[in-house]
Amino acid sequence: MVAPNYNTAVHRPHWTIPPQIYFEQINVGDEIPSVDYNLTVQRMIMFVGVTRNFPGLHHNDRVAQNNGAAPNMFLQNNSCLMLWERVVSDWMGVYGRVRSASFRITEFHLAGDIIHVGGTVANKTQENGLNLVEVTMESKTPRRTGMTGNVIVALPSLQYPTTTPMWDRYGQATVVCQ
Amino acid sequence: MTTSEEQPTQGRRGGDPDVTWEDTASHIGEDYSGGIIMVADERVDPSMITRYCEVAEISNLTYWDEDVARMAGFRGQVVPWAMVKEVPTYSGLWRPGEDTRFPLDADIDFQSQLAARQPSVGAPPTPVTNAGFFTDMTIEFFEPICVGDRITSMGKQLHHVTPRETRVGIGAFVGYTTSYFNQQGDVVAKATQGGYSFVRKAESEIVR
Repeated sequence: MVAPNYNTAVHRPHWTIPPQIYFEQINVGDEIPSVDYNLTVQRMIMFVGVTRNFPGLHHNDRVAQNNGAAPNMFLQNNSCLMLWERVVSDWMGVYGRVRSASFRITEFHLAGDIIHVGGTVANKTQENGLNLVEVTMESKTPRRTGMTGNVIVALPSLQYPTTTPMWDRYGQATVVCQ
Repeated sequence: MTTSEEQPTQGRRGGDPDVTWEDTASHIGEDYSGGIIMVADERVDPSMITRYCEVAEISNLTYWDEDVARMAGFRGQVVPWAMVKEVPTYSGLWRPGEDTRFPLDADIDFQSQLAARQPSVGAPPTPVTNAGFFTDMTIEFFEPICVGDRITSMGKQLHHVTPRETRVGIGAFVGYTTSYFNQQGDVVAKATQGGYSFVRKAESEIVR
């Protein structure tokens, strides 16, 4: 048996950083790229595992049915937010920062559902050196709207393309230019 | 058809028939954490983030690659923002010396005791309710959580009490605020999580 040569082995993938989106490129009313999620049973179990949300409501049809009105297992609330995470974070790029998120669940996200998640730019503001974009988010289940809310993101500007805001405990931002 | 307003949750039943929601609201601002400072059992590690991103197929490279994260101004590989009030803040489910969480006489659908998710001791007095469910959350993010960080949760402050009749019952929306800190004492997030506690209407009265 030949031992692997760790000097030449490839340990790490080499990813290409997607193009960054900038504040000036965003307009109120723009839709950000949407994603359709297929909530297969396997995926529901994966959600439970990675979030460690183990109540049977989220992985066991019998428990979901016996405890109330759910026809089968449904996503836990933080897993519902995870669906927004991908849509927002993949859109805002590596220099984007999420300032806040607010959401309200209005319908079960059930196993077997295709959940459509999209967002629309609702507002753009510049304050204290920050370029803030408010995105109104919505998750649609096959039956009705499943979750609504908004996410506020700070984006870099074309003038300062690698600007990265950080917020302190009082919400005061420090803008760091790389 | 069902709605999330019918999502049942455990542990929301009880109350005092002599208490009104206005009485409950008079406790807004009070803390029900018991002063507990809850330190997560585990530091954030890369696999915690990777497993999380896999399921929703999240591609932002600051979650996957330390070099990219540092280039973008972070201290290291970053915890996704939606994950902040999640696994990084949890206590363990079982540790050496503890009793089994899965007794031999438990049936197949038995629900074992889960780890604490936030410091919590008691609650304000409320009217009698027989159902409840999660409804909403607002999270503010501050210092990013990165690999190696260990998160502490503090506080369970009564934030709002809003009496309301809905299509499934009569009760109130009640929310609590908890703050999260890293090992340096920097605040990483502040979350207000709300639920609806209510007396369920008869099935025939519920508007679908």
